[in-house]
Amino acid sequence: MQAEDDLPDPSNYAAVEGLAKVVSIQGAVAWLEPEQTTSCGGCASSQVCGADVFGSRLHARRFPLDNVHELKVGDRVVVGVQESMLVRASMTAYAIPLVTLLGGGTTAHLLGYGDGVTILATLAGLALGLLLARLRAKSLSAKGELTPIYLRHAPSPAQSESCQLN
Amino acid sequence: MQEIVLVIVGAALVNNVVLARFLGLCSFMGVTTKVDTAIGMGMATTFVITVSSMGNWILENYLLLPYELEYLRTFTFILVIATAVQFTEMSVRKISPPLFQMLGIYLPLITTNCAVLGVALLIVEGHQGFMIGTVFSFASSIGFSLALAMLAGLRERLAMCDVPRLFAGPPVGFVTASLLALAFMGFSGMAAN
Repeated sequence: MQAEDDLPDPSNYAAVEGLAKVVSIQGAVAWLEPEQTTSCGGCASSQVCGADVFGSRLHARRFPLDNVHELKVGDRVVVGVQESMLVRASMTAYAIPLVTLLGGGTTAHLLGYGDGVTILATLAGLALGLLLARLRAKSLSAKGELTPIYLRHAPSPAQSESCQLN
Repeated sequence: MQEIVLVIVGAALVNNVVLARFLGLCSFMGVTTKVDTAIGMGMATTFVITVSSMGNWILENYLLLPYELEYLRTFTFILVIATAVQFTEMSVRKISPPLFQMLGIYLPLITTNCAVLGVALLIVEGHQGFMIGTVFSFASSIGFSLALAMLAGLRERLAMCDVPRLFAGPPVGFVTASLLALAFMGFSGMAAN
């Protein structure tokens, strides 16, 4: 949990930003749900094209935020993570398993084993990589580097420029 | 070992999946406004392409070919890709919930990325073995990520330039992408694959 004094200055914070909506308040913690940012899902075909499926998955991506800015249910806020963290997170989640996967498979291939053993070595490498990625992610989480932070309030949809009727 | 290196160079640079084969153009133009988001999307796509190509190779060689079910190939491959995306989503969520919050937004989009299916079909077309096919899919997706990161870097710089109003935004992005494709033609003939 971050104290208010520890929060970075949003004006100096190079961040990957996203819109989120406050869906519930539990004590000092606000639960936020990311807004769907695609342009799809609004037309009459959204039930068929699958964009609505993506929207319905947003509840699985709810995340907590310290409610030091007195957020209320229904507020729209801009949250962000440091740009460099996005790259480090990608490396942790994807690069580590890929390196061990390819390492296992290539070793078996170069040792002259057949496809069956190579497949098993590749899968073993993948499992090892996922384990290593989990350990690395735990260490990043313990430092609080993966948690999105509050940047500013966002205007409500009725106030936003793109939705104004001329 | 030489074969593996040639496959990597051929798939990542010479026959770049975006700039030479013109696959995955939606995400190529869609997520290349910032370098970091482009790298995030590229890494996620790399993981999914590699894992799904492994699954596709196993099903192709142990199920579709022995039982003469080749006519189900496209259908099967799409199912495997969707499963690989779900597997990736589950494993990222299991590895770290905060990571899932940061990276999860890209994953559903990969299901509809034609580069994923295209690479799997290219492996079948090339009659490649398991490991060479896996290395080919990995190198192809690294080429995809490289193209994404390069275009994102160029578009970040373009955003600060004084571009004529009619060309601002996507039009100048397309012009830049075509110049990038022309530059990659310089790799032609460097490797057979």
